[in-house]
Amino acid sequence: MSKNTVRLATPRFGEIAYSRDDVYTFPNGLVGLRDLRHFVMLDIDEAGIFHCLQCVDNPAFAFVLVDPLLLRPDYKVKVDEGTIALLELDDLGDAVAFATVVVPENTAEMTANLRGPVIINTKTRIGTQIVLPQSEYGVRVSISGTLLEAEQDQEEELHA
Amino acid sequence: MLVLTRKLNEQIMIGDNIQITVLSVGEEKVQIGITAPRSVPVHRREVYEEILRENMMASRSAIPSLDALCGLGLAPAPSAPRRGRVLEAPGRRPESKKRHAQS
Repeated sequence: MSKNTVRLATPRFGEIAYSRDDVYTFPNGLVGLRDLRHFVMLDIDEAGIFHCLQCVDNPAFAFVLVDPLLLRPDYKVKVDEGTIALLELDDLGDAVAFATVVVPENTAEMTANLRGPVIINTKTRIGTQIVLPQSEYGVRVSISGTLLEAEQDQEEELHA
Repeated sequence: MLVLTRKLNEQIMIGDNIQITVLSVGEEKVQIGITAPRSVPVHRREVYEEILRENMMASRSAIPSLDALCGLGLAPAPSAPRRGRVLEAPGRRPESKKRHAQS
């Protein structure tokens, strides 16, 4: 095993092994959770819809993420100069946005936060969570409702 | 709480590098300019609290099981754009990092 490999006991996934090169750094942590600065991304479903941002500083914290474009195909995030500098972003196309997901007991009621997206520079592996000011996007957007609507739209298009 | 009285365009320094400026005063609103280092995120409080609450709930979420997802019929539509470009550049380039908030 490479000396770069780290083993970590997590409450949700048991023991995980990751390479130090896989770690994402969030210099400012997440909103209200500034001490959570290092994460690894885990794929948690075969379809690749959901990912999990597992904190390695405090393994008790893990966030389910979803691609906001699945919920709003026209999703756009306007970033400021400070965020661009923080992420060391040379090309806006290097960044991906994720929405955090709240999974209640009844998974049909899952919601995604489109107002406070997690932005990651895939080149530098630096991430941050930003808050969209006066955003048209909500903090609790129903996931199943949105996806089902999208599916219906598509069927209608097919039938048209 | 420290209470300071300021006139229009007067400033307050917090530490060495956070600068607060009173930009305009209306009957029910005050416009405040904030210049702060990038390591100090600035948010409107009510939005900050809402995002923090969602973060705390999200961090406690169970990981959705594959069964649960299949039950919902959640599959990405083949034509759905994945991991597309979502970032838009700022409208104009500010001289310095200046953020304004109304409260």
